[in-house]
Amino acid sequence: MSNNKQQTFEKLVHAYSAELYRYAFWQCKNRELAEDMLQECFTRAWKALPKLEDENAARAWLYTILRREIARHFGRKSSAEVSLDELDIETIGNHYDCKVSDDINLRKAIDKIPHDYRDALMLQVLGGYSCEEIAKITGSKSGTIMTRVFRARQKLRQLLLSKSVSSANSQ
Amino acid sequence: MNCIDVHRKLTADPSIQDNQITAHLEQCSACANFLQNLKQFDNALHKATNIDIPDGLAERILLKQSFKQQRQQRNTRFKLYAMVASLLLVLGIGFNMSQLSTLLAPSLSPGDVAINHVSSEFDHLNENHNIQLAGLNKVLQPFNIKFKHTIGTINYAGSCPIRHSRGVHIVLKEHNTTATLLLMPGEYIKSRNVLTKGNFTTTIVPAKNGSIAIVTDKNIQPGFAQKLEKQLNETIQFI
Repeated sequence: MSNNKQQTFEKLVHAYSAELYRYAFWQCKNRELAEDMLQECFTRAWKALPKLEDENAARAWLYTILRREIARHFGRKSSAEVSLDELDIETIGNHYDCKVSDDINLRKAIDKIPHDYRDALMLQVLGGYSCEEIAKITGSKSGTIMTRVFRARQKLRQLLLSKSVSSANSQ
Repeated sequence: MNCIDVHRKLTADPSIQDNQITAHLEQCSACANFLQNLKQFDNALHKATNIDIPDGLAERILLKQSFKQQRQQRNTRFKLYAMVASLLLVLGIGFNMSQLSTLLAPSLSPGDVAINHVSSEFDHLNENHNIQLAGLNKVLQPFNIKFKHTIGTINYAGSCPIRHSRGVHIVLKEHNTTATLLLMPGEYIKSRNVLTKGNFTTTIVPAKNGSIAIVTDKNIQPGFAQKLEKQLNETIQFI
């Protein structure tokens, strides 16, 4: 075992385990499973570390490995490519009202949006990636990612608004 | 670019850098307001998804990884030994069992490793942190180990690399005598043994996932290490 490899590995674990754990949690919705997925991710990363030529690319590389581990666990295949249609544009709405966006309601709403939408949205919100970068991580087209993130926010907004309306009616 | 195009692109990525969008936002207050709301919504989204991280997550990942490496190395070593043994049989070389086991023995026993580790980190013997039970258990937690109570005065406790794995290094003082406890994952032994080398004596006992070494100055009476071993058995818990 080379000390250099060990040091690089330890640096990666300390630098990225927290954000990767959060991403895994929102994909698995279970803390223990999220940690297991993260462990498997880093086991694969350890084996493949000599092939990592650019340390600056390590973060996106780890996200790619983690996504594959989670997909493997759930037996998921990549979804069909999608694009924005007229319906999306008509339902775009004008406001994202954060008054209805408290943590609990938002978490419940995130839990309800389709997996592919949540995946792209979490890479953007937690990872801070642009649509082009997410496209590289997920092996999808940039337009597809734009659509997924767009629909994810739209769906969240709809869920939060309906929650807001139903609680207003019940009062 | 019209308002719908701007909304569509901003909703897909509120941080998008696009000259056309920037120009549009400068002239359209409705879209500028839309972006402001969207950014507030994203801040709320970021706050909601920013869940707590379990304590010791990174340390646990590194520890489990080191166990996996240990297992792989043992398997590789076993395969190598098996090949060598087969070759020797084929060649008909008449090694008797004692010679063969000498040949196959690892170069350093866990006892050697413990004494070498304490010798190389001699400075810890002079530490004086007076660590309480909670502090000690925080160091032990990633290793799934807990102490019910401390033994003597704990002057140092930390995790450090011991040969191929990370282990725990504890320095304690009991009745004015200093001793080092090393919890050594992956350093397996079949039974308790005592080794004296250089200035140190180590009593090493098997434990879950490896072994525990009690290292003292070689001039300390053996009864001291035996007493510590007894106290250790009473306080240590493998979770």
